[in-house]
Amino acid sequence: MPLDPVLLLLDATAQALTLLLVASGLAVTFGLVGVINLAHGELLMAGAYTVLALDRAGLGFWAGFALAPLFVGLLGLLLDLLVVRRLRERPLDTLLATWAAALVIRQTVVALFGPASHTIQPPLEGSVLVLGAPYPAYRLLVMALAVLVTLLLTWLLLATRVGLMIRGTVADRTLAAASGLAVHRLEAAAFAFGAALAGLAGAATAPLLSIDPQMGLGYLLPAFLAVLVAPAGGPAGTAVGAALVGGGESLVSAFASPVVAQLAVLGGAVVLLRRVAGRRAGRER
Amino acid sequence: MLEVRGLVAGYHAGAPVVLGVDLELAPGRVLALMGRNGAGKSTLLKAILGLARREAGSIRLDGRGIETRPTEWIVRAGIGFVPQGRGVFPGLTVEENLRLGGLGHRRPVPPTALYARFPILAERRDRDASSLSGGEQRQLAIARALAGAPRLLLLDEPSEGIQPSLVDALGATLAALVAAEGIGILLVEQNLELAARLADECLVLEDGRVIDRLPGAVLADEPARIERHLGL
Repeated sequence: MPLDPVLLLLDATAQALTLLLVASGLAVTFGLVGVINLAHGELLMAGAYTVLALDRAGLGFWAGFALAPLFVGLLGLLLDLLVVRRLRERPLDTLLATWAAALVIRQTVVALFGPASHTIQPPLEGSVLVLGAPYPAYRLLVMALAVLVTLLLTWLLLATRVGLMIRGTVADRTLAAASGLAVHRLEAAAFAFGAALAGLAGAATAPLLSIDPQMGLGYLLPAFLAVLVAPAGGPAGTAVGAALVGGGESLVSAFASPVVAQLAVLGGAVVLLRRVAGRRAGRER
Repeated sequence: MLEVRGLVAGYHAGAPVVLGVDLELAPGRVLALMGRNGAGKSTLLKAILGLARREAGSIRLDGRGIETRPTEWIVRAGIGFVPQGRGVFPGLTVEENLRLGGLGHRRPVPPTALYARFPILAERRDRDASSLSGGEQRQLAIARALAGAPRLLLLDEPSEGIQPSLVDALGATLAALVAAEGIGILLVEQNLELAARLADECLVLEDGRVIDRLPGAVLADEPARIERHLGL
């Protein structure tokens, strides 16, 4: 059957924007706080399970959707206070510690919900015609949410006091402290906020995916690639990175197997990373 | 009033760089710290601010012990800091640097008031701080520190890397800050002329210890006395 170019484009946009939603939290913890958080996928998974748990408890999807960012944000705060803060100057130890945290979160979910996968119904049924092609309404809602989150993050960073404090801390952490900013508190808040965004992404994508304890793993590498290949810092850069990685993988997988698509994206990302690293080194010189 | 007694500090446990330094700094006074590279001058400033590891001794500000307080608390209590190097936030505009300097403080000085003292910064207000010349960056670094309305200012080599003609203007600005606003300055400086112009007193450090304590006038009247300590 010939491929519908509109559907192809919509699928690529949907995958890019879903990845953007997932990568936004990672861009905060990695791009702003400088922590390589290997538990990001598990935080996303915790958001999806929050929705599942509240849906099963009869409170419905939207209650879980509202509570997931708060719950996962608190989980992130706890992770920062107990683990990340103590290892701030030791990135390799942070890597190992967040990996261990990921295992703990995953096994806790297995203990509570079992290893089997679950599904939940999207809160919005039906399709909407987009350029003459029918497209699932809930998928469009998730795409709109990703755009909204990116715009809000941009506003937060560029137009608020907190955003200025965060940009200052990213630019020079020691100077930020020597200017009177409580950098530890700021970093804890940013880490918790990044976790809350992961929770939001997990909650939003829960009806689109199979919910199981491994679900976060599939998103971790693409999300990191999206943040790493971003040509500039900030939400706009992450959006470009997500478009390249998520959109690219979706388009290639329309013509080849998913494994080939993932390999193609990985290869492209490596080339882009070399260029980005070269440009950054040039700027620092 | 800042009082430091028997301060031992460094960067790694058991390897102190500052070895039992005593000093006092009152508002409206300038205390110069001089010595060769590696004498412990910058580490001493960082230790006062909590940016270097404090192993022993006491640091009191207006009679209150601050040696266990975090950096942001000390800065908010009234000690501004201009580090060695550029001392500005790259990627942020001049105006954002100044706003950021006042954000954590109860009574921040608005950028407009700082522009009155540093007019060149008003002309550059929308420029990325890292695109300014060396002299402009030093002015911005000092203005950023003043945005928190400090009573004491710790300045680490403010004349480093700027043209000799600008050092004179910098000296005039700092002298005006002391005279007009009663700010006390703890000044680490290799430029003997600038130190002589500003200092009421001078401590000479060697290998982490104070080896000489001179009246400021000596720097101007008997420069040879200090030059031999600096290896000039």
